[in-house]
Amino acid sequence: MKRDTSYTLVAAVLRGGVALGGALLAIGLVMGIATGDVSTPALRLTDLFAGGSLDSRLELAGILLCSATPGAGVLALIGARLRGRDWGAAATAAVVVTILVVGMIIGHV
Amino acid sequence: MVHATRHRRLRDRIGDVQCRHGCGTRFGAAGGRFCEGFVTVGLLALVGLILLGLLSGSLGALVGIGGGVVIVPALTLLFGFDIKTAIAASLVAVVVTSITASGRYVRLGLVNTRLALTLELATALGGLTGGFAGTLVPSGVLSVVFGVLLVVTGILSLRGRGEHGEQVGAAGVEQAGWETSRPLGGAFWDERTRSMVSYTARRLPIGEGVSFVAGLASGLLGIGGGVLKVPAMNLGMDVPVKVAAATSSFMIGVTATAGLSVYLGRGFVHPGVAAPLALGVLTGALAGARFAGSASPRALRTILGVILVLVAVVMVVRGLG
Repeated sequence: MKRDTSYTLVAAVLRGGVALGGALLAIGLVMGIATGDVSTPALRLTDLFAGGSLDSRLELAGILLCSATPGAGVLALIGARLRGRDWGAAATAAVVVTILVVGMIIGHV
Repeated sequence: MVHATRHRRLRDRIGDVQCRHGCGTRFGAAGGRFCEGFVTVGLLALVGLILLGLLSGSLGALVGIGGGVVIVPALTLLFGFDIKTAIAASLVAVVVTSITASGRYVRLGLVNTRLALTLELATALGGLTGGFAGTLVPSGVLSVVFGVLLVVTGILSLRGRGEHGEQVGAAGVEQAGWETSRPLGGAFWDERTRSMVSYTARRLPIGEGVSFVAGLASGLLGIGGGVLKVPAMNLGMDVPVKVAAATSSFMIGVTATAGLSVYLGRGFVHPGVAAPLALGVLTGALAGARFAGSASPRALRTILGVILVLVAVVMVVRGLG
């Protein structure tokens, strides 16, 4: 068995994503409470830069960041597997990421 | 308690078209492809959402079940949200729970990433399929399907788990991140027995099949799917329960992302609902992980199992009504 050193990197990506995403969610929530904005629209990815109030868009950014984090973890794994010349595992991870990207694209069509 | 869903701007295809958010509104305005549903979240509801997230996150960390099976019924039955809004918010919470917990599990070397990615091929496809199906299926049908799933979840949570794996000797130091690709398996440091435990994942087709169904349920119903994946890995593939739970936790985030991307694209995600819920879940998961050692998982699972079965009955009755 070979010790897998990619764990540290993947763990860092996951923890970083949750910290940043959580911070954006918290800021958006506090801003929403401060402005008394209790009405919340359903937002889509395209509304990030032009749709809804600033607090809603900050919350959306937090949601998007959290949603992107598992995919980023898989990307980190691809890098680690490629470095370790584990082509099979890298290809499997690449297919998983492709499925996520295709889902994101189709979901917006 | 909350919400009045209303349509501010009616933007749908020309003709008499039913709103795709499943709220039953019919309109014939020309313009874009979707309406915009607004929900109103007052201060009381905001506090309620945070508390719900805390409960769900801590339950998830303590007993490995929580997330969608708690959040979706609560959002629909207590808060009165449409089930599709509830599912979208639940998926956000599930992703947050997953990345919070698996960040720790990966660092400890409990996640078998090769196993996770192999099963994730089926799960992500299932999640995507379920996500599309969930936006199209009527809300009443979703409630009934969810109720049936809750019964299964409740029964599974009342049952025990199997122990697999072979002790390969006390290593003396904590070692993390050992995996094998052929055969698919690995080893992990078991803190309880202070020894390295080696295991091999068997019967991969069972894992792939159940993973696809778990993904389908995740996208369709807004749950993590761990309640299906953990027993499949543990009982079906002979993977030790600690590795199964940690690997499932890592997979859940990826799976939920696949389903969430569809809900996000179709305009079902209300940040004002999802954000307080996600923050509550984040805090609850961290707190639950801290107290995981002192709580009695068996007692918690029993209580949760009974509650889930009762909630299931209510959801089925409402869905049929």
